[in-house]
Amino acid sequence: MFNYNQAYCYMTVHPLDPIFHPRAVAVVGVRTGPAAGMMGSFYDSLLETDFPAIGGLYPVNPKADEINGRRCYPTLLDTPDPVDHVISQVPASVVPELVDQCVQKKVRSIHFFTAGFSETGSQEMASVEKAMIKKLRDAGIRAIGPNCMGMYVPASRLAFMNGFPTEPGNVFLLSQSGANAGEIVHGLVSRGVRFSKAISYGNGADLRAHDFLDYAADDPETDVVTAYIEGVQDGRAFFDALKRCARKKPTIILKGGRTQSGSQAAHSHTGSLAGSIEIFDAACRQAGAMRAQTMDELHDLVVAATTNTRFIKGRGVALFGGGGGGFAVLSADAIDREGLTVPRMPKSAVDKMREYIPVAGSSVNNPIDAFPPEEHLEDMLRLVATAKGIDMFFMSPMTGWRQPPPGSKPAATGAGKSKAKKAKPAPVPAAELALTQEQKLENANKAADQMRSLEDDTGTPVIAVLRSGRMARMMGQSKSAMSEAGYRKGIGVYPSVARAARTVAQMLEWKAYRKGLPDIFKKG
Amino acid sequence: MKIKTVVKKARAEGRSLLSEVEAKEILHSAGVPVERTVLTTTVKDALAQADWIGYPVVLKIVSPDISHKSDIGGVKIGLKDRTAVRVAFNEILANAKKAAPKASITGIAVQHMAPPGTEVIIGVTTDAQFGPVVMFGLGGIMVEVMKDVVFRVVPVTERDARQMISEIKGKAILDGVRGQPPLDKTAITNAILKVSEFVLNNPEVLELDLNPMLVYPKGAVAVDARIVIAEE
Repeated sequence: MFNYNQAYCYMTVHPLDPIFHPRAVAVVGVRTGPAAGMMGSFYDSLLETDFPAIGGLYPVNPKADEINGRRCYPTLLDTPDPVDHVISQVPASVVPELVDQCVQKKVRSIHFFTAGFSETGSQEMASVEKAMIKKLRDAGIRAIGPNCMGMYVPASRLAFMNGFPTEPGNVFLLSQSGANAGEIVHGLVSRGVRFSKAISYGNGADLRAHDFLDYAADDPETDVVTAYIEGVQDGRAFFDALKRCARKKPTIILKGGRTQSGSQAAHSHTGSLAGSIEIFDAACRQAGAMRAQTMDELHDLVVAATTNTRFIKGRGVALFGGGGGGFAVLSADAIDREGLTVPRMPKSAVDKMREYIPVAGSSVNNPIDAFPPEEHLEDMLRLVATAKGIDMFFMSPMTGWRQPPPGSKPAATGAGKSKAKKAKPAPVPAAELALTQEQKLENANKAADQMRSLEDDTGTPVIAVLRSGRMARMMGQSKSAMSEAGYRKGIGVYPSVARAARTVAQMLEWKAYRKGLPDIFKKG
Repeated sequence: MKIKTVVKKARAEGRSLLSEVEAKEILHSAGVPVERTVLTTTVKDALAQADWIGYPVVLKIVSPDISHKSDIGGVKIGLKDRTAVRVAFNEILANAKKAAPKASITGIAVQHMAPPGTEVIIGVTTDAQFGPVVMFGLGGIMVEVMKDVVFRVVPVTERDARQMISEIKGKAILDGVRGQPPLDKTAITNAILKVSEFVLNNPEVLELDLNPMLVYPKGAVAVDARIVIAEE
């Protein structure tokens, strides 16, 4: 029988948790004119996610009575009770008045999209910011910002930009920059990733990186944490929170802005050698977190930490490509450059493959640059995946090859043996390359299923590397469809062999330096 | 000597840089392995200390105004007997007077000359964001040219210290190259941990260099030390 008392004992709610689940939201200073681009259309975004289906949504602007057919309130105090969360789009000069109203209205949290405070460098505005934060905190109200995009919480139907999915996921994002928060969400969503929460916190006048890291560490909806950070206001608190978070969950940090040496004085050798970037790197490494150097790396590492890429244990890559010797050579180089290897296949495997592909000019060693006939494909893939020294399988998704366009006759090749002799597919007329969106999705799903079953049968992680241009079209694929389809099957999908190899190498290095910390890359 | 006393004295004299003798004294009390160094002011005094420490010894100028001691001929090494000490003592004083006539000379430090070993550097600096951080690297040319150093935020754990040692690019040197025996990594680990503990307990320490620290197949010892303290 379910024991409520016992369940209650295990339930600890983080003090920040209520902020992510507001019962009602007021958008104060809501724009009444036509939508002005991506940034700042909070009201529209909340309509798009259908926030009103689960909570009150109150536009506030004294200049309008109605907006999109919904009642617009002149002030926050005129809105129905309760309002838990306020989004401030008012000018900085009006903020002090709004803060007083928030206190009176007893809201839980306020997000200041409003800019023009400490980030301007003005002493005066910095002290205004300080004073308003103090007033809010005294009233028990937490603030996000100023100068930021606020919260994206799919499960609570909160979104700060249009086009954010309402489907929740397991990745937590915090970002000092609003634009980069959008970039990371949109970029990762197209790779199949979904978010538990994403926060853009701007100036971090009240809530800042360490508060959110501390929350993310214990958030049951979050498995992987990623952050874009330019500078931390309180390095020690940040370091402690990062340590706590990274011990429990894969945590990936992208740091922007190379500043001058962080040391206060440099009378020593050590001081002269210590740059702020080196020390930031060291702090991340010490905490057990991973440093991404670029936006691409952040995307790839988040994909890796949430897919089969995190289970890869060794360095041996089987590369199954097709597309010519040149592609195989460059791919092998890219793999080698990252400290991974492309082991030769054992003779028994090579002999067996030769039976499948009796064609001169095709390479049946590793990298494997040949397409076996369809009926041998499954056997051959399994043979390669289980060969000695193979720790992972890189393959270009291959279903959809020579896919005929809708309504056309199947290619006039007889089934069976005669087809089997043809290792290379017949050229495809350009017109036939055009596939419908449905066909691309179907192909992607088929390829993802194929890779998933290969991995399940052999225990070797299967990584999908996408191809570009005509090659991708000949393979009947769309990159985004393949990214999503693979991701949903737990397959790491990367835009190129080089990026896949780099990501795997980084994951292996990360695991190595986490030795002695809890294993966060276990299966199950 | 207690660090509080040393810091108070330095601040009273308007110094933020502790003398080598002061730095080594307080590091020794904190359990950091340093080659102890004694301040002398006369030849007689220096001879007595050298006799007690045991030959060979090193003599070094101690002056708040002279930062780069060896550049002005303020350091004499490998002094094997009393005669050598006597000659070196007078030479150092003469060199210092010639190079920096206005420098105030505290005295001459006598220390035991450690046998040759592999040079490493252990240091501390205070980062504006993270506070005190410990640095480790190979000494000499590796630190000068290659900047082959790694950092960790204080407090450093044993796991961190071991990782620092294995993270430098030239780590093979510590494992013993060309038939050399491997060096005592445990001694380096302990020194890093002691330094971390020292700065954690003494927040007035802003910067610190143990440069070089000599590492042997058994044991390690810092032969020079430098400490910068925060102004009041």
